[in-house]
Amino acid sequence: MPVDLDEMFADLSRDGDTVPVAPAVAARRRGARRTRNRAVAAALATLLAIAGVGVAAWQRGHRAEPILPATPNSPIRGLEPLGEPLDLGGDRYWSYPAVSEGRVYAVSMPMAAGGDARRNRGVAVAGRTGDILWSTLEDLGDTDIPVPIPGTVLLREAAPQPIMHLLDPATGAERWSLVHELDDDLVFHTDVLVRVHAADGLTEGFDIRTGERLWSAPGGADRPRFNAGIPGGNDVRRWGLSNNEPFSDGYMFQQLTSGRMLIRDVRTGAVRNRIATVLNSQSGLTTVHDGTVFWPVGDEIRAAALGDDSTARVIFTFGPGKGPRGLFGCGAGRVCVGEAADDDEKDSRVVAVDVDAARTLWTAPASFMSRGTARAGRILTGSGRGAALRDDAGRVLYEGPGDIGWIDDGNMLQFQMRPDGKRTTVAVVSAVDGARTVLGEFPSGSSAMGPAGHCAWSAETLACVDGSRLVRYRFTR
Amino acid sequence: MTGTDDFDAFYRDTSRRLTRYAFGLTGDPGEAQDLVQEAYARAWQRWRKVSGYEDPEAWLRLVVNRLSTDRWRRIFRRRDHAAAQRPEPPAPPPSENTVLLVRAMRDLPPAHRQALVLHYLMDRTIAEIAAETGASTGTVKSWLSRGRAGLAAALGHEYPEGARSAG
Repeated sequence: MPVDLDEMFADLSRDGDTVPVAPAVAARRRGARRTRNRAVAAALATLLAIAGVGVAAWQRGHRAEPILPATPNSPIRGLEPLGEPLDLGGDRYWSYPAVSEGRVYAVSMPMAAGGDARRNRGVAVAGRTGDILWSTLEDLGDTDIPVPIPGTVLLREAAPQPIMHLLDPATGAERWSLVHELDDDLVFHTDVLVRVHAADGLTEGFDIRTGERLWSAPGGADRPRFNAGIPGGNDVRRWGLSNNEPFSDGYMFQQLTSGRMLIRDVRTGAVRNRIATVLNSQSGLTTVHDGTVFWPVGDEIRAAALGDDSTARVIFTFGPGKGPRGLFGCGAGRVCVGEAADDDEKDSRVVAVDVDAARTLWTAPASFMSRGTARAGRILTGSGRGAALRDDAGRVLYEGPGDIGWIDDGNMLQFQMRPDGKRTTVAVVSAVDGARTVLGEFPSGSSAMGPAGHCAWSAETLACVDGSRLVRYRFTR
Repeated sequence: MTGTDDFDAFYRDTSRRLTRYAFGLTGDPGEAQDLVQEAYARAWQRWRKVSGYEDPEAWLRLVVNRLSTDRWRRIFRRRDHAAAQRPEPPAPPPSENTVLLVRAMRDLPPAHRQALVLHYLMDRTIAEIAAETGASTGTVKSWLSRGRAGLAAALGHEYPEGARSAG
């Protein structure tokens, strides 16, 4: 049966017209808050620092919870509930779950519509016991969602002046904060926070724990206009084929106004490579793997040793009418290239390339190619609609619908919304042989953001939000 | 009429349409509400200037469009694995068509998505979309065509050519 897009868009329009609209005064108040001067911002930052001390003092009586003993990579066989769900009651609900270092983070939001971020509260919960470890306070300004990276929690306050707060993940106490402009680019690494000033291109690296400025580089006449971290690609959270992300595993790229690109070590600020030309639409695919930087230029993939531009060479050339869709390391001495027609996503392929020999090792059709990653000899390509797992020879071990992400080197978690849209099946897919084992079913809720959107996980714990309830599970192996 | 009255009247006239537009881009009621509030907040900050524009509503759509793809927002909306599950008590659940369509639109390039939403939800012609986005009419036609093809592929069916012509 053919799709009737007119009817589907008419339904979308009707549903859009049922979204409640806040009164004009709410927007005016938000705008007015935004125009407060920096003195107010400074005072607010001071208040936050005091509040951080208070939160730290409040939670001193809470003993740090031991992290569950991990048996990484062994087969996951089931889910076991961890304690009782954490229920907020009738007037608030959970959102934006994240799991890191034995803690579950989520945001408690008021049920009342209106989008007033001042009433959101970031909460850290002990993954094992469900004890609330700390919480951000209300009415401290528009605060955004806490994002954990190992050793630090990032919390941005949006108004009246953007401020990045760097919190101790164990206590919620603020270690330091960075006042910045909305259009600045920030890049996060476990040890360093990099700020690129939109106004003049000044690039600065700060110790992410103390705020000490470690290095700086002036913008100059050919200033950076696009900056992003280069991730390693094997983290559950970071598996976009486009490496256009704020998280870095050690390097960042800076595309300059002239079209040139710098590869910079975020720990020292040192420029490791100066690349002559990169296209705006392709710079985000730049990646680093095995001591080599890879980037697309037109219909070619080029590579150079980190720190040695003289080694730059072409390692792969696309066929006529084809272009890059992805680029990621996929084993020692190998890089995987996502390829599709320039004007169509049909006939997309993943190509494994031997870097030293600049030789194609294998090519495989890839129906789902909007993102990809590789771990321990396995290559995962996918999109929100489906995913394929291959071994290092390109043989398909698993292919199926739904969202999927790594748990550890041996297991992946798969979410598949049932056709009625009301329930989501959660399954584990073995990275060893592609076998799929259903773990359970959760309500899908009303959001259309994707079936995995309301859950987060680590190698030990799965946390899902279901309205006012935050539910935790332990993977059993 | 005071600036406040002027702004409030403009808000009453346009906020419903802008919310529909934001919902079309994001597929998420809470996100749409937040985008719209942020866009109007920015408009209020510079209302004297914005109110003098020939088409202030188009300026707001540009702000919404930019915010919806803003890297900061994406970071904190955790687009890969922690996108929010926002129950919206005051609104009925979306139709099955909406759920399917929004899921399919997630994989489209932003330009295709914007063109489709402007065309189908805001009833803009190709010429109007071209004027608003700064692209040529040929490019807009290409965005719409490829956007429809992408949706058809995502929805797993053949889309009949020419089912709706714009113009």
